[in-house]
Amino acid sequence: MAVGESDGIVIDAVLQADSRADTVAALVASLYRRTRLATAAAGLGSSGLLHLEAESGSIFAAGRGDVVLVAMAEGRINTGLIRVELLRESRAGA
Amino acid sequence: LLFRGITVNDEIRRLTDQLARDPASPAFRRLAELLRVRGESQSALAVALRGLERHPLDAEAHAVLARICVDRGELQRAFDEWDMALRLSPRHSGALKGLGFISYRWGRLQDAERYLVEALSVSPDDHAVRAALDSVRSAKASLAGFQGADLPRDAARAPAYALASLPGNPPTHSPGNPWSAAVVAVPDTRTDTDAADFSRQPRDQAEVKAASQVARPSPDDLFRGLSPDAAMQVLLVDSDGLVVAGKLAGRDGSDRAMSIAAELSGVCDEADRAMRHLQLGDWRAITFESQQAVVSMARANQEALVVVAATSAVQLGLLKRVLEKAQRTAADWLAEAI
Repeated sequence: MAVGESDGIVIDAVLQADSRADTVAALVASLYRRTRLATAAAGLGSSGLLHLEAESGSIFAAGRGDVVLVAMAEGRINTGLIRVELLRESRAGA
Repeated sequence: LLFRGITVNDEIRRLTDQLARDPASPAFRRLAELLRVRGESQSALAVALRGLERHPLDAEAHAVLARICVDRGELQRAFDEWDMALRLSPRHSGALKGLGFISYRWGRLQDAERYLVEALSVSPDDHAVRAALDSVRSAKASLAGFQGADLPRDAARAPAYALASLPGNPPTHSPGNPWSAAVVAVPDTRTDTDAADFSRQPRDQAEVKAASQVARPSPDDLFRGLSPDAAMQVLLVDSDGLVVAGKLAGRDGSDRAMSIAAELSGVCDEADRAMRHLQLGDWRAITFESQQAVVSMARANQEALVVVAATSAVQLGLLKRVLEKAQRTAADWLAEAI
């Protein structure tokens, strides 16, 4: 899913039928933005890739400019593969 | 993009169906193990116990049950189950590792070493066992250093500060810990059933507590030795964004701990909010990679956060393991402080 970082609005998405794209987009974009600003303020660099591991899934977000690419996965997944794909897509879209 | 990892769920469903069709199937072992790994220890326990009713002489099933018990904090029961597994299958390396793990937890360092040496003789290429054995030997060396004398003859009397003094290596059972890796892998058999003296009682709790306090590290030293080199720095931060322990310096050597703690604690609130709506359960870790650095954080307890920061050259897998180790170290340290 491609999301605007500043407004959390979906630009494009491929989702499962039961997924709530707007909710996911808004929350993840906000989380990504908050993390990016926090790490930048702390002097740890800005734009990059966020990975949040939760009890029953993971969220990935990779930013480039004002666009954030978001991937959400449930269950056990190949983190490395998703990370590589997301970074590649993020760079390609720059 | 939306991914859906269905492998484990599919496998659990398949095994459940298999057991429904054939209740005598040994599939219960795998099912119990998968449920355990997913953190569903109550279901795992039920499946393992039901399976053992039909297969009471299955060493592997006893080993699975032992691991479930460790996850539930029932060490004595886990010890008994691994003991049973070892009696049924005298070269069962999983049982040897498990018994070594629990002996270590109890401060019985000589017993732990003996089990692990034996496990290594069964599985000489098992790096997790080798790492665990190194931990035990470090603890023994540390103990000798504390006492300024030789090790006690009776390992059951080894004071707990031998464990507490390990450089950030409390032997908690969880992913990423070499002990966990040692305990989780479960093959084969062995020759010698002459194992340990299982009649020993756990040491006096007051002694354990007092000894642990003797070796309690200072806040600055809490995470010393966690990282294999100086590339990673670790902080413990409270819910108000204040530094509790650890150090974090910028490239120029200036102290950045306070600013990083203050900024990153707010990210947790944002993550909590997202989790409430996304139905993925509680968050376990957040990692952010930039071109300059990688920052990873996880909760040490309900009110504290562990932050690991590293240069972007650090391998993420290593960072994750250091985070897990720091998380356990911080949780233990905070628990002792209360």
